[in-house]
Amino acid sequence: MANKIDFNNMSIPEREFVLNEIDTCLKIAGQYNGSVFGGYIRDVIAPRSFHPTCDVKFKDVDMWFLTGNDADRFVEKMGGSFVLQPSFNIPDGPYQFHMFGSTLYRKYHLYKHGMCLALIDIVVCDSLPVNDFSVNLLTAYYGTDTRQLVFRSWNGPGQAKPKPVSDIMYDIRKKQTEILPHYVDLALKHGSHLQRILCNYVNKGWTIKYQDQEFKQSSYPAGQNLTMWLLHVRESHLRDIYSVIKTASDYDGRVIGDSLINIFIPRVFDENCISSPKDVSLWFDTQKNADEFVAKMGNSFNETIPTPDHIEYQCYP
Amino acid sequence: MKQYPLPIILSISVIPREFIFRKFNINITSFVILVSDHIPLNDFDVNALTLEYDKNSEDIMIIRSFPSENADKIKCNLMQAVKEKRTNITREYLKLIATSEAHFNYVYENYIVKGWKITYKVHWFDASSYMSSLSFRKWVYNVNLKLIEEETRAEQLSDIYQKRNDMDKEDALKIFNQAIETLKLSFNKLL
Repeated sequence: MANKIDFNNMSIPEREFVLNEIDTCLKIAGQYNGSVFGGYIRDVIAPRSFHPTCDVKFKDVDMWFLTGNDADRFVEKMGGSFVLQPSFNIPDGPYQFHMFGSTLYRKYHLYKHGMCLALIDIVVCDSLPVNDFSVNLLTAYYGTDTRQLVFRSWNGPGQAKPKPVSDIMYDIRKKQTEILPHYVDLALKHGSHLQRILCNYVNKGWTIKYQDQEFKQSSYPAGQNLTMWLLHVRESHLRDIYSVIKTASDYDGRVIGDSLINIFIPRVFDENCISSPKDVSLWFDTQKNADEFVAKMGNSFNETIPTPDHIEYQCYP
Repeated sequence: MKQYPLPIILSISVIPREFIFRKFNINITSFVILVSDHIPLNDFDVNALTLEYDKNSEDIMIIRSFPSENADKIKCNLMQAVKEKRTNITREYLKLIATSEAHFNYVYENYIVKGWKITYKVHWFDASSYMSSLSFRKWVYNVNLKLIEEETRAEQLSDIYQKRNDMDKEDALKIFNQAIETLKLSFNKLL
């Protein structure tokens, strides 16, 4: 393999050169509807939008394309500067992108003058492949006309509407994020995800939130405590769901379907069963009962209506 | 609204409504509300089970099975089946997943990936041994093929029986007419 830049010890001119090359790469990706998301936004783009010359560190650049055709055309356009990493194996356990149906995932090295400048992860998926933290529901891309970086915020799994871009930027600035409910299960089931939360967030000083509870490194120094906190979060998540089922029962509503057979009944046999439902189907035998139940739930129940799954362009200087 | 792969519906059309349950500005989970006279699922036998809270108690949950004939016996069997992750797929749903990609993916993600053993009559697919989407697709295809063969054979047999019945009817009519003729002759002789 050709020379590699030492990402941890690069000089300031080297760093600016690398960031400039990645920026060029993002501009080309923008022509093919490619957006950047994840760690590169959290650790580079957002901090630089607050302090344009601040020191930044990053591991790789995650890029998202809606179709394989767009991704292929982008890679073709990048030509010899993009080299596929042949020996890449997706790690054991459900990788963070695995939750998203038909996802294609490839890793490339970005080369310039025979030097590897960055690792580029290309993910092809028909929805934003993020299921972990609310701060990651933000993408950035170069519009073909504007030549300016455009931010978009997106719905997370099961979310009714996206958080405004400004709120996510504020969270990044404050180093705080909400953990998405289903990622709690994933982290409890797979140690690799627990490590990922510790390395990428907790050890970097992030505060992780769920409802009114929060976890940060200063209050809990060890990974064991993160597990305890996640277990606590999962229980309070399930308690909330059971409270809705109880209200539905008052109106003769019953749980049916796969949440029942994959989660609620297995919990009858083993209450430590680590899972919480993505959705819960409730069956009512009369429309009147269903309507009264929905009325009883009030503002906490919001019917999903076909709306765009992202908030339209919001540009940052 | 996300695409909700509708389970097969019993004779009536049920339109699901999806609600997001929010607390502290966090989306806890989504609830899909279905209204119908009958339990609106007939995809897998285990989906005849329902759960509700006892109205007279704070924390007692009741599991029932529908329809309610022999409910207790069926419920025990189905609960055991859920515990062992095995289920019988209905003929209608087996046909549907062979033709609908959305339903196929739904079953693959919610049953096969989770290690369920799916059975249709004597044919079974054990996800603990074969978890790939391709092997499940092959199984669905093969069982459907057998189903079509069985149905075609049944139709042919039904045709044959029908023809035989028709022939029997013609014979019976002949015998009946002959009998009438004989009776008429005997009657005339008597007169």
